[in-house]
Amino acid sequence: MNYFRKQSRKTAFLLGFITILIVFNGFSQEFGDCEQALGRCMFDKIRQLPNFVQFYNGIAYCAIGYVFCLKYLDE
Amino acid sequence: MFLLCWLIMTIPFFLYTEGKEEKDWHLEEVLSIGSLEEDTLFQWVGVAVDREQNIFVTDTMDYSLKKFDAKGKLTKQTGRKGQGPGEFLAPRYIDNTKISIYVSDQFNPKIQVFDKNLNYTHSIPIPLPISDFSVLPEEEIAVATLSTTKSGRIYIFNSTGKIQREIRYTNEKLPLMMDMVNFEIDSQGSLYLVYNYQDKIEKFSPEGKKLWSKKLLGVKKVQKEKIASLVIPSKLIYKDIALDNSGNIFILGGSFSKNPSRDVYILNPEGDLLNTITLPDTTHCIYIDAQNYLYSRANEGVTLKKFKMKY
Repeated sequence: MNYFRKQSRKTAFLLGFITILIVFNGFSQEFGDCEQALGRCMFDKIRQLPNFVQFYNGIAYCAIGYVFCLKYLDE
Repeated sequence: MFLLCWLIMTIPFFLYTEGKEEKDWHLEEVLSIGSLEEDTLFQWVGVAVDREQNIFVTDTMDYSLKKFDAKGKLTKQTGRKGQGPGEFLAPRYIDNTKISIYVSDQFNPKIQVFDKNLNYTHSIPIPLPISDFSVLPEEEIAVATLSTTKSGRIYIFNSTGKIQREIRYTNEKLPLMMDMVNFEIDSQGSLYLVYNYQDKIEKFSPEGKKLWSKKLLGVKKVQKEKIASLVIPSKLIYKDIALDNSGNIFILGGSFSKNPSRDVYILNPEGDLLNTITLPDTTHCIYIDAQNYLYSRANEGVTLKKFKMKY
C-alpha cells in the first residue's frame, strides 16, 4: 500500500514538474502587458499543483483576466 | 421600352431597401461623468442604469461600487479592497433588477448583491470564473464562463448558487477560449450572443434552439499567440453586445473593425445589419438603458459617457 502511495506521489510530482516546464517553455519572448499579466497569473497558479482540478480552474481565471485586459487596454 | 426595362430592374432594389428600414443613426452626448482633472472615476468597468436613471458603476482601481444620479452627481459609494461582504478585489460586471444591484469580482467566486442604496445584502456563490452574466426573473443568474473541459455553455444559477440548467450554444469542440462570448437575454427569454474570437453573432429561442447565425466582418481566422506554451487567440473580433427596447442588437467591434473598439454594428432582431455608428472614444463595453440611452467609455476608463441615440 505504501509502495503505491509513494509511486502516486512521485507521479504527481513528475507531472507537476513537466507541466511547469511546458507552461514556461518559451516565455522569455517579448509580450504586451496583457500577455505578461497572463504569464504571471499562470505562474501563480502553479503553486496549486499537484491539485490539477484547481490548477486548470486557475488557468481559466487567468484566461478570463487576459481577455478582460485585451478588451480594456485595446491591445 | 427602355423605361420598362429600367423599371423592371430597379423595382426589386426599392422593395429590398424598404424592407431593411434603413435609418441614419447617430449619437448625441447628453452626460459625461469623470474627467482627467477630477477623482470621480479611476478605471470604471461595469455600468447599469435603473428606471429612475440612477447610474451604477464598478470602479476597479478603488475597489468600489458607485451610484450617480441622473445628472451625474455621485450620491453614494461603497466597497474597499478585500474578500469580505461588500469588499472587492477586482469588481467587474454589473446588472440590476428593480430592487438590487449585482456585482461580479474577477478574483472572488461569487456575485455580491446590494440594494439601491448600495447596502450589501447577500452573496451568491458562483464557483466558476465569470466572463459575463445577466440577472433573470426570479433571481436566477445566467453566467458565461470559460472551461478547460466543457466548452460552449451558459449556466443558469438559482439564488443560492446551485446550477439549475445550462444552455449549450455550441456542440463543437473548440480550442481554448474560442468559445468565449458576451450575451444578452431579452424579456421574452431569447438569447443573443456574440463570440469574442469568432466572426459569429447568434440568436437562440427561449427553448435553446438556434434561430440564426450571422457574420459581419468576414474574418476567417483569428490571430493566435503562444504565451507560456498556451496557444491562445490574441485579437478580439467582438467585444460586447447590448439590446435596445425595440429589440435591436448593438455589437461593439474589436480589432478587426474599421474603427477598432469604436464601431458599433446595429442589427434588427432578425439579424439584418441596419447601420454602423462610431463612438467618439475607444471603449471596452457598451450598455443601453431602458430609455435607449447608450453608455460607453472615454479617457481610458476615467470618463463615462451617456448618449442619446437619434434616428
